[in-house]
Amino acid sequence: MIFMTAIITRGLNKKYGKLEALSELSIEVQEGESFCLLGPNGAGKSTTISILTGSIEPSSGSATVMGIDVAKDPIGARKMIGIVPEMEYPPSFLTVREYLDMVCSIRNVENPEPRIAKWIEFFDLKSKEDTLCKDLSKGTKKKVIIAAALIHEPKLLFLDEPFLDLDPIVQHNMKEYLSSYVRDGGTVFLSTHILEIAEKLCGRAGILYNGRLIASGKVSELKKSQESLEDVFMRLVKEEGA
Amino acid sequence: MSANMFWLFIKEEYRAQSSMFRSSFLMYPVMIFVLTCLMGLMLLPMRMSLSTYELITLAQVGVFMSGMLVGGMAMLQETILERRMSGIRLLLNIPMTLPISNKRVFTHFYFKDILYYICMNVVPVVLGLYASTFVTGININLPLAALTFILSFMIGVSVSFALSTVAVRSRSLFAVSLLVIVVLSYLATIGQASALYGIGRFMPTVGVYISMSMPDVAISIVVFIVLSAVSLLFTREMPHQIEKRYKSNFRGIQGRFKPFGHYATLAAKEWIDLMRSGGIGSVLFSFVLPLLFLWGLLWMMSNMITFMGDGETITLPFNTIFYSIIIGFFASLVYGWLNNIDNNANYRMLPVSMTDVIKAKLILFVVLNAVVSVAYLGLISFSRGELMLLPFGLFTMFMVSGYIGVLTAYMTGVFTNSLMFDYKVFSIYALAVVPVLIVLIVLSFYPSMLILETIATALLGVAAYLLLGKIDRKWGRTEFRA
Repeated sequence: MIFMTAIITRGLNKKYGKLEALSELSIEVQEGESFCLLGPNGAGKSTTISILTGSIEPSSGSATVMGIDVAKDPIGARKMIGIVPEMEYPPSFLTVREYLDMVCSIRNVENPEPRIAKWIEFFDLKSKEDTLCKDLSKGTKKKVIIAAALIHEPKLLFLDEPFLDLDPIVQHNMKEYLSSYVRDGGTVFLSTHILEIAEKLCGRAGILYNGRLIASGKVSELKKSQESLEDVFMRLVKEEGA
Repeated sequence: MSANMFWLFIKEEYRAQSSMFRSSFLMYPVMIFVLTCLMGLMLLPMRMSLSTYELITLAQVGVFMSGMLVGGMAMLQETILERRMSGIRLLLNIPMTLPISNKRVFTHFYFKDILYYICMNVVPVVLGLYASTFVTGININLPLAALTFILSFMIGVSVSFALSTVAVRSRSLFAVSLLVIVVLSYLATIGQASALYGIGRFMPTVGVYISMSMPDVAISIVVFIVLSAVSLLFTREMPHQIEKRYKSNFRGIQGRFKPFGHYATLAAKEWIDLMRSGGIGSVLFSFVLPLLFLWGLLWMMSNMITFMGDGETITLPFNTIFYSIIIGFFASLVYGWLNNIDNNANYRMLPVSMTDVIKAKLILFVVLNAVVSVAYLGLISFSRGELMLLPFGLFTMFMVSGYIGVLTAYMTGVFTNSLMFDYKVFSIYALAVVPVLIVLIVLSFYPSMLILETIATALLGVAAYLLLGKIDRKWGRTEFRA
């Protein structure tokens, strides 16, 4: 099996006025790998995902996703990937089923019906499939957003805090699904505050602090003896802040 | 009421406006001042047709109506919080996290809105009207005008607030209330010299201005207090959640838009948004109000021309072509409505560009135009016995609305309702639209120039086509944001 590099960033910078949200970020994520971006609030995790998914342009540097230069062809890149933004809701006036139908249509999914049925069942949405998305609970909206990101079975997933608002059963099912997804060759780029999830799901991790990557490598290598990922995170952030 | 919280609400309103519209929102009262000043100049010709009583009633009704527009807050409360500003948390949300009742917070919000819009709307109107008197020489009592306009505005806000509170509680009671108002208004005009005399009887502020009637001042204040208190009392403590369900028909609707190729999916989504949000009512209604405005404008124009012609009655030849230009302009405003329904941020998850969304909205704009505007123009043409002019009128209407609609899309993208308040954008828009409309309207007065008019409108079609091609360069890389 030949693996290619799924994500490459070189000297990625993003400035909002005088604020430097991201500074010289260079990372590589191989296909079939699960990479986790950790960092305190405002470290630049969501900015990184927004750049990599073509939502915003970097101030300088380059980013390639599945061989596509995201800055040059954001739509082309978005065709290849699934995205779960941190705070996003499905369109207010479509029902759950209609929204998934729309996503399949935009993504040119052939024979969408079985796939829609599969994800409606996976997230236990049967009783809500005809409900307007604006009338759903926060957790159910999150399920719909994740279903929409997975429905075209992309090879690369960008997940920004995907477990927020999900109940423990769905969280468990999602973890199981993502583990099997990576085993089958899928790539996951995950941003989360929940270090236990990162430790369980990800082979490699990077720690962002004030927009800079302060550590990166295999989770097992980042840890010193008897350390948890949480200990590593706290140690590195404290060292950087000192 | 807490002075501290009231001040916080005022600061929030200022910051919300300044972050949405930058410094442009400060141009808004200036524009109101200039417009009122110009309208004040119209008092000279209007005095030829209307008595002082009618003019005062007209002014008070105008200010009352602007209060009505501000007052529909009970209806908008949930919409503001849930959809359009989903990424923004307002002070109105604090009852969800702090031990304070929704009624108490909403009371502050209500009085903040009244004070804020008195400063932004009523004060510039009073000053604009007063400034015009230096040219017209008409005597206006400034303190009395200020007092009565503020009272009319406050009554307008409270009436609208009361009606919207009723509407939120019971749609049928709201319909009955509206019917009662219409019937009472009609009964008031029976036996009167004009409708304005009848309406004036319902406006206590008219009596205040004319005769400094203290009972009328008291009535105005009591009406405001009673309606406000009752409405605030019936404001819901918790948002009323109803789960709406629909059988999925996405593919059926998408099929209807199939001729539009790969835009069919997004156009279908926009169509569903419009239908289920109640936006279609706004679209239809957005034609009715401007047409009424047009009727008033034409009436004023004929008065003005008669006035300038030393009292000699002159009839302007307003024909189907003229109405097609005006309806074409009004139709273009529908594009703004389409950007007012739902947040577009969700598209950042999908392989969709801003250009795709803009073009899908333009498709819906054309479809609505093809039904609603054609119906309006057909009715006008038929009622005027000018069906021979209808084909030319339709062509003109489509070219005008197409040009202005595409121009709006090019200049504002999906941010029409905020960018149109940017005075730079608005100035360019006005420069690109007003001269064109003036030339076409003047040409429409001369039936012998019908061919020239048709060529001119065809050129607008070409301009629209060229602008359409430039939308991608301007908006293609714009981020979808909440």
